[in-house]
Amino acid sequence: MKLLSLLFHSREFHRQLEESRSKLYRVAYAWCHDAALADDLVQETLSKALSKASQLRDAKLLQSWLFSIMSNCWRDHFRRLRGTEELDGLDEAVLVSDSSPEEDHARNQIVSRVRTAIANLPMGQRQVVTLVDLEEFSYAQVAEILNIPVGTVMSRLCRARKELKMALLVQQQDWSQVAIRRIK
Amino acid sequence: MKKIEHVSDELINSFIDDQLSADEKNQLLEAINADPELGAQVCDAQRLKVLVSHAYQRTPHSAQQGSRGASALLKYRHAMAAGLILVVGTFSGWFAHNWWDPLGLQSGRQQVYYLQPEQLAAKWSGQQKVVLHVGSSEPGKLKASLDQAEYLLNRYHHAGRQIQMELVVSGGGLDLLRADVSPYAERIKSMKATYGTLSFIACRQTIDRLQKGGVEVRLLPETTQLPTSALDEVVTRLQQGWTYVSI
Repeated sequence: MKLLSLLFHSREFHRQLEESRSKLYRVAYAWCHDAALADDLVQETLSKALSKASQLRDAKLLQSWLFSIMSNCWRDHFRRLRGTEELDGLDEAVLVSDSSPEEDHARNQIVSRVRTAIANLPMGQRQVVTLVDLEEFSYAQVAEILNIPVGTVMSRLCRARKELKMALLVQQQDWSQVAIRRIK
Repeated sequence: MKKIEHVSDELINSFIDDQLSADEKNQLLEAINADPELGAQVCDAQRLKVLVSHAYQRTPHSAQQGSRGASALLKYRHAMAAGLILVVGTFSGWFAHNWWDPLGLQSGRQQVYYLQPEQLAAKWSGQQKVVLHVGSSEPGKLKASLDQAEYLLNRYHHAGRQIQMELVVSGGGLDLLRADVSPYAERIKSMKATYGTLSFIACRQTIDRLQKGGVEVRLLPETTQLPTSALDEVVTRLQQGWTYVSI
């Protein structure tokens, strides 16, 4: 009976990891804007999660734990590339891929504009704003995931949204010119 | 109630991210009611949040994504993780996380109104276009969505002004328009008959998800089904300059 229970929980753990995959990928893509790199990050994250499963002490913390692993993988990726440079100081040109077919196709679309604005944010701000806006993590959770103080989360978020507002809402007038689409 | 002296950007962010206590929210709502400019700032902040979320709803997949790669990795790792079963097996509450995420935005978090109906009714002089969104099956929210819609429509009609309104439901909010679930079928029928500019709109994605789970979805005849998701509709309306009110 106990063995069956253990097997069930193990399968549950794997199921939870599988279900988390799309969430992780979405945020990874928002960080790097590169599909292949985002996929690698997620694979590495899941792999580490499996090998470090014993470190997860509270199942309710699974999501923030996974994103914390992914943040470390992301940091390690750049350390491998650039020694010990901090993410905030990275050359954004390295991080922004603007030549994917989807972006080419949708360059004039709102999605493309928002992604470009996000990609132009310093990495620290980008990580905070995507964790809050895409996954609805609390500020305290984001602080834990990125291993930074809550105050830093708030200040980065504030700066990020100021930049996004400047980049996106000034285009509001252009958007309002779009003809109203009937949906019936 | 203690009044807020200065509303900082950090406070607005905390408000739209649901990081404030109930008292703090009330204080800020009071401040918003008293200051239309502040209300507009909060709307802008919420609009940005919606836009960011929308921008990553559909991400391009790499060649490995969705392939057998992930499953194969997990199956391979299954053996390696077998030794950890004892630890994993003691955990409980895997299902505590709410996977039901109506818009991909809310994750079960309670949203608060950031534009009060009185403010909305008083602020606009031309034709108003409003999209109300409800993504929760919480009874109070379902009722509040109809109350707010009716209040605004009444105010505008009595003032001889035009208002176009969409009440968009998704996730649990679909209960409002489900024929066999909604407690408000008669009220919705009456509102639709009274206000020609009011549309009740259901999220296609939510309907598909329910049907995939074996749930038969029957909608009230007043309902218009979206071709895609509620999020697409909200973003489209935001682009067109509509006012967005989250219930």
